[in-house]
Amino acid sequence: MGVLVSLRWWLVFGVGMCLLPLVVSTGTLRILVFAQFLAIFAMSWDILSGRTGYISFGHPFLIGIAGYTTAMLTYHLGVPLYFSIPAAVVATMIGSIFFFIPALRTRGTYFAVVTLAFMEVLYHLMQVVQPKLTGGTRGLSGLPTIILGAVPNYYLSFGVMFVIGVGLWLLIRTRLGTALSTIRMDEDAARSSGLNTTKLKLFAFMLSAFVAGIGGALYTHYLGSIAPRGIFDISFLFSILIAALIGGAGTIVGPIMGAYFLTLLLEFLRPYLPGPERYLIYGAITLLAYYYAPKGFHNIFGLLWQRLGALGRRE
Amino acid sequence: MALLEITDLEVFYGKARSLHGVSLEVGAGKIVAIIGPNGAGKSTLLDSIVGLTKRTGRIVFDGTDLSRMRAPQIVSLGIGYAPERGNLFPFMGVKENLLVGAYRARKEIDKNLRMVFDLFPVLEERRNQETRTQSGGERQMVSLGRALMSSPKLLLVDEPTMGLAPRVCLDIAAALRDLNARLGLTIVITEQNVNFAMNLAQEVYLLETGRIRLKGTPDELRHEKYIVETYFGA
Repeated sequence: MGVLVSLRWWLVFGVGMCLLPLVVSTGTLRILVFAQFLAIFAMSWDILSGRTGYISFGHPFLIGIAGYTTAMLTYHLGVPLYFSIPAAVVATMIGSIFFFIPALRTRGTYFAVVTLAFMEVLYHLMQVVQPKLTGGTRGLSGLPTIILGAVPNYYLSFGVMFVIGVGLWLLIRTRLGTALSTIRMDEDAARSSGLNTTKLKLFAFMLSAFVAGIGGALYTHYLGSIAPRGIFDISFLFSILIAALIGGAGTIVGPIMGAYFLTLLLEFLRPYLPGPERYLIYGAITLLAYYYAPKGFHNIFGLLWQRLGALGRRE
Repeated sequence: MALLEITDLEVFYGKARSLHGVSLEVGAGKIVAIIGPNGAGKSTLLDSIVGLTKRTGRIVFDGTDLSRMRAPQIVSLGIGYAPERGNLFPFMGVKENLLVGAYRARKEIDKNLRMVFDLFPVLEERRNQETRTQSGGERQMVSLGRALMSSPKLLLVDEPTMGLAPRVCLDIAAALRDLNARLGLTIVITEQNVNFAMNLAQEVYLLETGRIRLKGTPDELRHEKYIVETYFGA
């Protein structure tokens, strides 16, 4: 019953966002497209790191595999998008095995550093190994787009984000979702309760890569280009992490909230802080969020909702 | 007939040997206590039975050799493990914690949940309370309950009285006796509280520095000079 009530909120959110193009400018929609792609990446991070506690600092590694796979297939071989995008998703899932192997032996900070190393390695590989194939430091541009125009791209990115969001949100409410979060809380206790944590972690890594793969491939074709400095940029990585953390890690809804908030905030700040100093705001937001609302916006809204409900009942 | 037979069990943490050729037997329907001081290897012994450590030697449970098995398979065979009370899932409610224990016994969830709530009524009252906000005694009850949710034939309980008030220790002892008498559950506990262990168990092993030093019934060990001098301070 609780799930049905909450699904109603998803429906309200979906309908509201579908009506948005009627009232906002195309410029705002283009900003929202970025927010929605960021939400997809943040959810991908969340299902792995927010749920299982294996903090990934190298998520752009997965996104990069997807982006480069579809970019190279379409650019060099003229492979149609309906084939190159699924191929990119599969390649990302295979690539996630590189992430998974260290997770069998390392935890915590060590795992995070290893994933960061993977990102750095891919960053340099894309620049120096076979630059004719990858485009080297400049990357590849002139890639085919899926659809043209702000409104269709808004609906496409929103639709993909919405379906992934509802799917993952339902999943974390199942026994499987609960089992994944036991790994974060106490992996040894999970094992002693009979949970096969290795299989569970593999599932989380694959699912995270699946989502990152879809997001990475679509994002590349939305931009029509891919370059190592864009995809493996540290501020891109921080955007993903901070969106998930300030929204509420482990909740799926939180990263969506965080992605919209962060994207809109940065755009709002653009006239006042036009340069990269805007990104300084990331650090400040993270500190404030951790200090005052360590469980993120998701928790704040939840508490507000409970208080409103209590007030309503009293009256 | 022995439900659990351990022969020459050795466990290393790096180069340090934690268990030195430990051998013991646990008869079906018995309560067996492993007593010993901090660092004796009691928790390691239980961890090894459930497959949480790398070990050598032979562990046979109900005719099945566990030596090459991992924790999920071992729990499926019917061994429930209640680790020290810190090993709960702190941000989950009581019921959610219990349901994690039922991951490998899905068909009996309702029956087992009822059994746990009958055994510890306070858990039913606080079924939605996050375990990090519970008292030590309640957390121990959740830990025991979670192990029982897997429909075990053998229950392993690590230091059930650690840091608990005497009154709560009595409740835990009563629950374990009840499980043993009513359901015929075989129980292995580790304890530093020698009095508690001797009053509860039918057979006691003394484990020190990774070796079994003494074994016998509580009556036999109560008069053992070494036990009297070292553990009762007389």
